[in-house]
Amino acid sequence: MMKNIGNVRWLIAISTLLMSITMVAAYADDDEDEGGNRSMGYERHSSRSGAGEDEGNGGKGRSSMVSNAKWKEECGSCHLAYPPRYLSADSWRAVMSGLDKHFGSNATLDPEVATEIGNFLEQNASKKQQRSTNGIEPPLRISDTKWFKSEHREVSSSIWKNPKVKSPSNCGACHTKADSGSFSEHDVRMPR
Amino acid sequence: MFRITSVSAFLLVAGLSIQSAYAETPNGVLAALQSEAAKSAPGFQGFSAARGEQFFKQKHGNEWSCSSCHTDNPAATGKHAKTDKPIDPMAPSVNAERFTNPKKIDKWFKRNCNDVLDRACTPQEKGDVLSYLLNVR
Repeated sequence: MMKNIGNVRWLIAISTLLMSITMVAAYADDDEDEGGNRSMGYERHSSRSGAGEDEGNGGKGRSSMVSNAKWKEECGSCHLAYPPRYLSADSWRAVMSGLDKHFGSNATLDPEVATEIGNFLEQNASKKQQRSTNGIEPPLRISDTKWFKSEHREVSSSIWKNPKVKSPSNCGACHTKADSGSFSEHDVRMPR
Repeated sequence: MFRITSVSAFLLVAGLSIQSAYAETPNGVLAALQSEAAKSAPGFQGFSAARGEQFFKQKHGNEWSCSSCHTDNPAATGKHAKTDKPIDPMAPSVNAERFTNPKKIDKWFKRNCNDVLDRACTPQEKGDVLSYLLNVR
């Protein structure tokens, strides 16, 4: 009998330990996703009011993983399929209504595909109004938002000029896991 | 009478599905372009791979040619001229997925012809280019 109680105690101890490990891992995971939204910054608070903020999603980073097959295929054929959370809904509406002249290229879609992608983008857009740095509202490029500029303020001009980077639109040049929607600072590798 | 109608309806449906299945191979797409070209241009004299190659590699008044992104070798992996994103090879001999999805073919011809020529490509131009791409080994 005593032996059994001893066993039960062990079991409780081990399961408590396991639970706390799982919780730590879950927290770390959230932290990482949030990190994705502060890519270069060290101030978590400022980033919390940034574009990457995952409001409306339990406040945690799950929305970084939102996906839609048509979005992935269509928006990801010429460039990275940019996560919807980096622009607000008015920006996405403007982008989707100008696909015939999409930054110098024709990117027109079938109407039904465009509707599905437009809905996906708007539903998962940044809840915070994203303002542009050049006075043109709403911003059409993520790299034109004040949030983006602030997040990347520590990136030197020599990095931006590196031919491996080429353009601020080339997230994957430094964010090694950008393709899977993760912009965690841990995964940033500046090209040499 | 009823029997005749249903038989012809059956043949029509069967014929359509054969045609659409046929169009899902590069040669089927080429055949479809051929009948389109014959209808739209009275003097149509068939496609030319040589003309297609020239068309593919030349600029047409704009900054880009087809080869700006797809490179001069359609059997090689291309690179988007602006974003550097890799583009799978265009030649069906090395990329079996190419020219098997009519919707996708229409979408990209529409977009890329607009970028390269500021207009839609004619069935003749599309057929010439496809003949060239089919010849690349």
